[in-house]
Amino acid sequence: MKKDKVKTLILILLVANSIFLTTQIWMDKKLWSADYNFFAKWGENSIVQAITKKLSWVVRNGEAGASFVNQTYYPQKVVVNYGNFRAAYVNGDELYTQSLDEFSRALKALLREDQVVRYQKIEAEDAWLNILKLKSIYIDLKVPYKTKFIGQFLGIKNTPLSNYIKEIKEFILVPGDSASNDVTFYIKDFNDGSVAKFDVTYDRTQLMNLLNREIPASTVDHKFSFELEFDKKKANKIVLDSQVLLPFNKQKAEVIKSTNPIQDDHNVKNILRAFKYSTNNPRKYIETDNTLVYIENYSTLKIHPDGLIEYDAIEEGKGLRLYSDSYGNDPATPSFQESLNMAVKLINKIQDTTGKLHLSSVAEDPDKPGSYKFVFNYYHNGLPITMNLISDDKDILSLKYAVKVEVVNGTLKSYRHYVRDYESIKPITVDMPVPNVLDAIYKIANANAPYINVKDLHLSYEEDGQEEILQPQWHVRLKGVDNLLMIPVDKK
Amino acid sequence: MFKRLLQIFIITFILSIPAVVMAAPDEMSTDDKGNATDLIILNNAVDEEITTFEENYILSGSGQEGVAVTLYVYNSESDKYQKVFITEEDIKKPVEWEIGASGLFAQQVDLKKGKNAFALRAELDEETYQVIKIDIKRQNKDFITKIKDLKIGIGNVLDTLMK
Repeated sequence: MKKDKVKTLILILLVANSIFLTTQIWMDKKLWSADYNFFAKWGENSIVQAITKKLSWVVRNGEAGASFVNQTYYPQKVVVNYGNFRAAYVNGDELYTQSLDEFSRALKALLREDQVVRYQKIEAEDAWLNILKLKSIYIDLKVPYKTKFIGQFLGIKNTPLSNYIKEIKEFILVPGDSASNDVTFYIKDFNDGSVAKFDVTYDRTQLMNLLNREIPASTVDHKFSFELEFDKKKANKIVLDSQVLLPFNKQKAEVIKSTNPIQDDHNVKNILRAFKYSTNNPRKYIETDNTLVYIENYSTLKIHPDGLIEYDAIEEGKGLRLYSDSYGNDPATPSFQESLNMAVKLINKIQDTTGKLHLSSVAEDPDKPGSYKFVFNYYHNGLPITMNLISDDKDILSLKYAVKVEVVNGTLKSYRHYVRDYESIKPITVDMPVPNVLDAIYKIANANAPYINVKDLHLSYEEDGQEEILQPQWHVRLKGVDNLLMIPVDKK
Repeated sequence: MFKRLLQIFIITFILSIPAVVMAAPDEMSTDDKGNATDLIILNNAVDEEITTFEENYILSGSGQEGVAVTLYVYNSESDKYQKVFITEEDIKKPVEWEIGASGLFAQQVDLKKGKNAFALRAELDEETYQVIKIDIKRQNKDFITKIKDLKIGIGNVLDTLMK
């Protein structure tokens, strides 16, 4: 009897396994020849999409809710001050996700539409720097975002915080006083530099656990330059901006390899499908440098041999309809969040960028509702990859970003994407003391200036389209200099 | 024979002179203030005792390029400041550095519980040197917990009285 039961169980598992594997084969476009896939085409049917969209809404609302972590956008670093130690976590660190999640939950509580905003302006000049010394979570978005966009990142359509601050680049989250269960956000208004304090009623148990936790021995300690008084001119020839974050221990990094994944006809067809171009007898010609040029659907599409994709609608409003692809045929003006989702969906049709791409900036045309320009850049294990592609061809602009998507009212206007895959090939330890880095900066920058002002300093990679192997470098932004200065990590 | 020995002695003496004066001494007396005041500027407070709960502390400052700085710590048994040594790859090395082109320096020092009296000796050349002293007191972390408990205790008493 028992044997029969075991046999039955094995049979069930085998049948289930074969159904699963068959589904994989039927639904995977790559395994079908001549671009025919009956079931994959079903997936693109608008009715099926509407049903799956409803189901995904149910699943999403069963989870913890929107968080920065679940969006394409996430901050480069989350800086956690434990009181006697300051760690800077990047995407890929376990504590990055935990810290950012906790920060996002608290921020969502502040941004909620039904939230009564408890606001106080902070007048003291050095208040911001003093607050950074407290136990806190600090986030610098690197570029300012409209407050309403930040709300929409977290699934909040309209936030009352927009009435107090229009543009935000930096936040500090601290536990409130011990008598209440509040947390406090200190937010710098990007427009005038003023600092505002917002108290939020919030269960801060998890936040306190996070800030009081045992710090792993391998964590790198950081100091802000103002804590060392490196932001003051004394006998030094380099002055750093007050909030330049400096590491004081060895750091782990990696040497990486850059490859162009567009290698064959299959990849090209994938790209054509993403832009809804015909893959059977497409209208194309080949330029002298082997760039493939397609003209269809009131647009042109170029696929360069180095992996650069360029798309331009001949006329605004005539380009690829992204809105209907994502949200059905509703003609409403798409919101910022919807436009961003459309852009990310299109990018992921061309290249799986999960965890690799980061939203660097957003520009909105105030005169044209629903018009957005999104710029993205690559990351590898938390370190940014700075694009520095210089073109000799006057018709191709030098690229300082990985992806740029221009969406107008749910329609694609232009698209630029330098397609790249990055893989780690060798771990290394960055063990250059901060003063040595600063000495190298001064030697390379200019010895004639009375002093040099450093605005930003961080580890990064440079993608110039020429080198296959990329080493981590110190990227330095100097005041009054457009181009980044790059210092090898072992330069003395 | 005597001439040969004298020659050897003179040559040895001449060769040893730069070695003796270029290296900072292993010990310094507590009243040694140096003969210069402008070789380095220490950004940390030097006129008062610094209190911290941290296990280490960063001494930061600026100075002239080429100045060699050596770290000393006070030894109560000898009543002198002695060079601080660290062991790297089984080699004992003094904690010292040369100020580079940027003019900035930052050195992390380990603290023992209680008072830590450090001195920095900055040397520009054989004859010019500056001494800066800095005292750092490392409090016990349990001290924080005691203060917090005391604060909560007082708060509770006040709440009870108010009721």
